[in-house]
Amino acid sequence: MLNDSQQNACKKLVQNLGINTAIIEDIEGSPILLISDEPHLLHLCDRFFESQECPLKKEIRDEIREKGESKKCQLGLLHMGASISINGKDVAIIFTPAWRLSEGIPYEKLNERIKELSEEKKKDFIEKYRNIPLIYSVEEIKNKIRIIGNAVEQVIKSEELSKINEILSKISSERFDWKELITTIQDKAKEITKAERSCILLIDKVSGKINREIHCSQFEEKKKTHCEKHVSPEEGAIGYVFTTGEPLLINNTDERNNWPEEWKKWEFSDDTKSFLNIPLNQNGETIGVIHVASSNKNTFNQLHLQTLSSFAGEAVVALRNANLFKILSSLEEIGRALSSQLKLDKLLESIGSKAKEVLGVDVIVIYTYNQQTNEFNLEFVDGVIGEPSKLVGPIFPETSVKLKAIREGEPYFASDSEHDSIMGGGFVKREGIKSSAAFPLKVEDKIIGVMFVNYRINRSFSEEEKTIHRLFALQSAVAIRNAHLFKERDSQRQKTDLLSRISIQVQTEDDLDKMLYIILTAITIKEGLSFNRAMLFLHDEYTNSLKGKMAIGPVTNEEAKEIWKETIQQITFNKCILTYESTKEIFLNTPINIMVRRISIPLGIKSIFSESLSDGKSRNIKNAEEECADAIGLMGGLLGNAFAIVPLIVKGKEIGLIVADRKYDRRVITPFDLDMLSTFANQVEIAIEKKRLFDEITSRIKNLDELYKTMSKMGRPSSLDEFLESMCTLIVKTIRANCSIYLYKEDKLILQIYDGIDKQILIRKEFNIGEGIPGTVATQGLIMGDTFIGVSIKRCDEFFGVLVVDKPFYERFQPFKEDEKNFLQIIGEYITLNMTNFALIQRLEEETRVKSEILHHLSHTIRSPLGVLEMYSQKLLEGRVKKDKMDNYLKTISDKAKECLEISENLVNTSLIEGGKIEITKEEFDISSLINEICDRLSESLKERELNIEKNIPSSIKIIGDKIKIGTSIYNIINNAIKFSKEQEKIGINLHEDRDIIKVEIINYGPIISDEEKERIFEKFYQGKPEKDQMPKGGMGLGLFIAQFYIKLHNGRIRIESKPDGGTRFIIILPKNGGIE
Amino acid sequence: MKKKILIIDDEPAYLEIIKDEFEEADKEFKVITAMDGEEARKKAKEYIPDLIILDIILPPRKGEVLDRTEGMKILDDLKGNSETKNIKIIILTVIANYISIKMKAEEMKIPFFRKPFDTKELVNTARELFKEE
Repeated sequence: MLNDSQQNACKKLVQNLGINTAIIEDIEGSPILLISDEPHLLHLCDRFFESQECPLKKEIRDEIREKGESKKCQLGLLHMGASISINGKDVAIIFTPAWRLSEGIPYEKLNERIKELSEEKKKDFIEKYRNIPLIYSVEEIKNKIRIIGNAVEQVIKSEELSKINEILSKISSERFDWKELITTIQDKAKEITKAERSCILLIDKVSGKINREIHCSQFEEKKKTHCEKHVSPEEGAIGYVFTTGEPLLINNTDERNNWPEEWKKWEFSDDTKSFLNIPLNQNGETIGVIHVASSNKNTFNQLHLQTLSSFAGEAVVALRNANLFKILSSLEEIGRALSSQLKLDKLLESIGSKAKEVLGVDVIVIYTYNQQTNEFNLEFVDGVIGEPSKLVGPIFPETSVKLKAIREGEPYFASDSEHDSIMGGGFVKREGIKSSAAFPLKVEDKIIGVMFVNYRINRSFSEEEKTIHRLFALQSAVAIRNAHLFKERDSQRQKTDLLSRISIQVQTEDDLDKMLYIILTAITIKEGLSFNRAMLFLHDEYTNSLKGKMAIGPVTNEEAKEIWKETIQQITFNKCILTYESTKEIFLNTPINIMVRRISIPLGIKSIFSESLSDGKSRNIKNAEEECADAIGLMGGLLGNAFAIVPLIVKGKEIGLIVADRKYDRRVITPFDLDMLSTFANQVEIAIEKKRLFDEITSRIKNLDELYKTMSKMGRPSSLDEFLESMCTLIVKTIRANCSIYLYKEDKLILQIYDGIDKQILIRKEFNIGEGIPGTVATQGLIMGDTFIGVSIKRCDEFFGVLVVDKPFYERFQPFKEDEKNFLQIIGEYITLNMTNFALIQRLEEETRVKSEILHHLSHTIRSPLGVLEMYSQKLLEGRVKKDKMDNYLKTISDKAKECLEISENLVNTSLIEGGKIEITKEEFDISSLINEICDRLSESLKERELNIEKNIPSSIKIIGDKIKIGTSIYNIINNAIKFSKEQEKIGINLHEDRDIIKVEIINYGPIISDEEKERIFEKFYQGKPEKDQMPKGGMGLGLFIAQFYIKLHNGRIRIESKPDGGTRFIIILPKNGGIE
Repeated sequence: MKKKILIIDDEPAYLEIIKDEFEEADKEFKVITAMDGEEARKKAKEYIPDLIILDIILPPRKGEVLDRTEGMKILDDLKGNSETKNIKIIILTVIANYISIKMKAEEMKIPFFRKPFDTKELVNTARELFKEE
């Protein structure tokens, strides 16, 4: 189980990465941690720990352990996770990302879940979903999980370290009271010798100063001043004992005349008349003196001396033990102090000062071990030992046998004669260094560094001292390890922070180059992945090769140094983004960019790059010369021997790859680095995908824009075919598809136009309604298939045809996108609209044509006979007409005058009709004789055209009506028949009486009148089209109009029957009674 | 050398009076007439006349697009054909303010007469044209 702060650390990590639900459990399935901010999962968290049961089904968890993800659903979510190991034990981390994954999430299930929630929770829940910032891809989430896995591992490992601290504090908890020991020794000495007072003087070894100060710890207060005068171990009676190691008994200080010369200088306080100094010897070294004194002479004898000497032996052991405990307890303090310091540089400083304080070292040197490079790097030096600058660099010699031993894990303590060899390989024997020791810094059986300590005094390392040194080294090692982990965790946090900043940038930035620049920068800067160089290659589909797009980093050592300088000036991520616009030109023309843009890696040839792109896996190349020598050549010698490759794949499409290396600082690319690189590369994928979508939308908008422009420019396309062709071209150009337009003609759909990617496609040209795709589209109106889209071109009840767009043969596996579907629907509507317009325009055109024809004809017909009259009469008046031509001329004048009369009569009638001023005078009259009269009037015209008239008219048929108007009607119809008859044909006129009605039939054998024409023939100014070999019609197209109008006034009607063999019959039907109701 | 003149008009009365005027004016004038576009084109190619007197407003042929008058079409056809492009032309029209006709005639330097007109003047104009040769 994790403690609160560790749990919080994990939660923060998880949430920082935007993952809102995470379950961490050990391999047996016991819970370690559950983090969630999903309201519907919160109550499960409590149950999780109560019941020791994971809320996720076991089958899902097992699948995640096995495959890293599960597509089974529980709680309406997809689940994904990663296995990590902590201290060699597998621990599964299971994540349930509770939002839409690109592979889809059953929304219905989420909605069901929402329905079950209480009102308050529902609100909360919906709010949370609204704020989800990103749609993550599965790969991206996996990467995030990997990061979290690593980070959680670190968090859990720091737990192990705190356990070691606990053990250490337990060891030193059996404290020995130093003060009590000293008092006991003093009292005992006083008791043995019956002295007035006693004290113990000790060399303070731990203070480590070169001046041996006498530690006058237990002198009575009033004697302290005096005692402090005798602080030098070389001086006075105490100094004598320290120097010689021999006891000294003085029974009368007043008798100094008998003393040796040197002794005479000794000073004593007034109340010291006799005293006894016993050395405290340990391993041949005097570590202190027991001093007993009296104000009386001759207080101490030889027996006292002997007894006190043997007591001193015991005291030494006790003091030694006490001293050890004292150091141990101070070590514990150090441990606490050190473990609280998590900044490595500060920690090393405090290790240095503690080493001086506690161990009394003069020079301390610490190396840290880099497992990846298998090198020891100088991390810290304290104490004067020469120019520190000379110590920079990995100087730990492999050759030293003793150091090899140290590397194997054993400390080494050097005697006076051999310490220089320990220092060897860069260190030389230094003046004043008398003894040294080297300790491996080991945590959990792993070497993390070496610590050297040097003394200016000769120290014989006792077992105890060795232990103390070992413990100190261990404490330091643990603290350094902690600090390292912290640094690592810190940099990981920094990296994940950076990652989230990048993703924000990528989401808000539209400039692809800038996005790519941001990502490559992040890969190379110190706060990012600190690769030396990053290069981006994009897949060029046409040449099937990888083309260099962009790169960051140096290409020469000199450049690397320049960049190193810049790095010292703290190039930050934010700075890079801010200065991008202004430095873009410079950046794009750096040597590496120029070089990279020249690189083209063919994908058809097998290489490490093509392999990586096809299997989608990242590569960490450690030794290119051995692993993939060709890669170096493909990259034009730009790459070093070690590099990382990360493929970029979006939606299964290979879009390129990123290559990054550390050619210049030669640091090893770790699996973690590669993981992070993949994660950063993910942002490139997102950026490119985003850009692609953006471009796609932009081009769609542009296309639509173009469409509307084309539309407004075309105004009215000159022909329907041209219009449909332009639509087809537009569709094919815009969405890469095949496009066919079928028009509805005579109950069939006929292929009108085809254009497409598949040029030679064989398609049926004709479909019945309901048959095949076009036929089905016609009945259903709209079909949105994956590989074809059909739109019916239909407006209201008018059906024009169908538009069918299908995917090119080789792209059938890629269904239409939403925006393509929308586009086609718009085009479909546009075509429909235009087809309607076309139909309208055609009708309008026809009407306009008819009108202008009428006007044309009108002016022609009126002016023409008048012009003839004018010219003929003029010539007559001039007397220039020859005699033989005279009759001819007069006849023409007469004809044209008649024509003019007829026209004017018709015009007058029409204007009366139009003005509503027609008056009918009804009377009974003989229609038989009326028809005969009309025939007589027309006899001349008939003769002229050589037409025979066949009359079948019973005599004396009476009718009530307006004689003149009925006469005009019949005249106009017979006149019309004459006009449309060919010469030498016949005209039939029949009259029938049938109960209440009269039928007048006028038959001619001229051209057939179509049904359409039958409707229009009575329209004002309608003129039948002249046939070949026919006389021009003359007239104004008013005769039939007037005829019908008059017949209708009599409640009659005119029927037309027209058959190829039966001729054309105009049948006038009139009620006998004149239409009286 | 006889001058061949082709008169194209859909009104027989006009054809007659113009024909008479030319034939009476000079025995050297040989007059041919045509009443519609088809006949006119055929005769123009067959006889290659020296002068064509063309009524610009003729009944349209069946199925033709009515963007120009039939007379205009004949004019364009004559000018577009290497055999007939050098034939002299006089235009007749009833609608004098038919701007497009007037402009075209002026542009092509073709004399034109509005009906009714003085036939003597027509003959004079024809003579002027022949003189230019």
